[in-house]
Amino acid sequence: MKKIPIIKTVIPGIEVVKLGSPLFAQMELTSECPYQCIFCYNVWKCSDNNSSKGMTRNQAFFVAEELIRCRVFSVILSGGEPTLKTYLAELVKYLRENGIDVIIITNGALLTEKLLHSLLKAGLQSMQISMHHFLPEKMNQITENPNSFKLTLQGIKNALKICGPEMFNVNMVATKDTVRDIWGMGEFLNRLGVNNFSIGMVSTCGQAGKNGLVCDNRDLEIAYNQLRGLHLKYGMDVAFTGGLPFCALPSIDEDFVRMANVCDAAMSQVVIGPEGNIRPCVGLPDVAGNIFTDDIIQVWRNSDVLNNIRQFRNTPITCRSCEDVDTCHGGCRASAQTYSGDTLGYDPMMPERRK
Amino acid sequence: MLYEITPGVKHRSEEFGGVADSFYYGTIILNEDEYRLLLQIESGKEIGEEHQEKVKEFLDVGLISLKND
Repeated sequence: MKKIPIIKTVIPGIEVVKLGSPLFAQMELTSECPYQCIFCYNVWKCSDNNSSKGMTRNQAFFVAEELIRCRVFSVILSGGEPTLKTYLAELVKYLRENGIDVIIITNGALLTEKLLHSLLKAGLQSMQISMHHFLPEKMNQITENPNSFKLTLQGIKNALKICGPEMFNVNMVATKDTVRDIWGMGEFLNRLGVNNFSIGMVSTCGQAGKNGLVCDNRDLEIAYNQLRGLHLKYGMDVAFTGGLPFCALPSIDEDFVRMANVCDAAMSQVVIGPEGNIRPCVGLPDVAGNIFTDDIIQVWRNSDVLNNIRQFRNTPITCRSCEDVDTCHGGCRASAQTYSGDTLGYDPMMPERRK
Repeated sequence: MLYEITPGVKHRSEEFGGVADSFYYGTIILNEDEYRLLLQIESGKEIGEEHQEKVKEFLDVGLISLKND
């Protein structure tokens, strides 16, 4: 029997399975978006070199072919705003025909009934629609778009009508300013008929850090209690998205609140940016290669950017003796790096941050 | 008993055996023998008594489910 190839890490006793190619990928089809959310995590928005408007149809299909060659299981199509791309439904169809699951992350502004019909026909399985507040003025302020509340609300109504409530979730990014409004948001969505509601605690990647919106572990508990209440009172399917440090979590009962809490950056996931840059996750700015000029499989196997993460080289020293380090990694390393300016810094959610 | 790969489970071969992903459990690494067994189940072949323990493990992590005739 062949021995399973592993990568030794800097932590004694912790080893990582060496996969031949990624299992999951995210394609950021465009950097353009009609909203300018004050906490947008897109790291390339902070770059002076953010001149790319995204993938042309040919480029997007080339990336899709490369991901098919990698034999990935699923692809998330995001941006910027992916529905700005007129080839979106065609791309979904192509990926689905090749056995790949497809999820779209959208702000819902352009989700017309016609587009939803074409996405359904193409085989789309799931969507995440971002809506960040139930008060129009607050939503419009967060997105810096005076029409965003109206546009996203219509997109959600269209999705309910065409796709039904089980095909999508609404995701709210909770910040220091809005973390107590989760209950109100949940009730608002429940009245609309939305059943799947998730919370992403604000990441400090991108814009949030400079806008003073960063949360801590006490905010996380406030968020958890509201989600739990929404499940108990309305039967809503509620969840946290994103990688949270285990030591920051309240005592979570996953019968009430689901967690998508294992960071798979560079372990099984890769992100392809609007200009083709290959990155470990949506939050880290580090570039491992470019899919239009480099062989993605060789980049996956040999890149120092990816191997350093796999070897836990960016996990804080004090986290390395924790029994949960192999799954937690020290929380969101992208958020930690942006917040602290140090690759070994603490995730702002961690209690250690306050010491 | 007849089993099938649980709907939604994805798998692929790797140099060492295989890797699978179930919605409820996440990524599962399979050695060569385990992966071969998974492929046998997928092809609808009868699974012998000697594999019952492994079949139970596969059921527990949601990789396979009982086939409804």
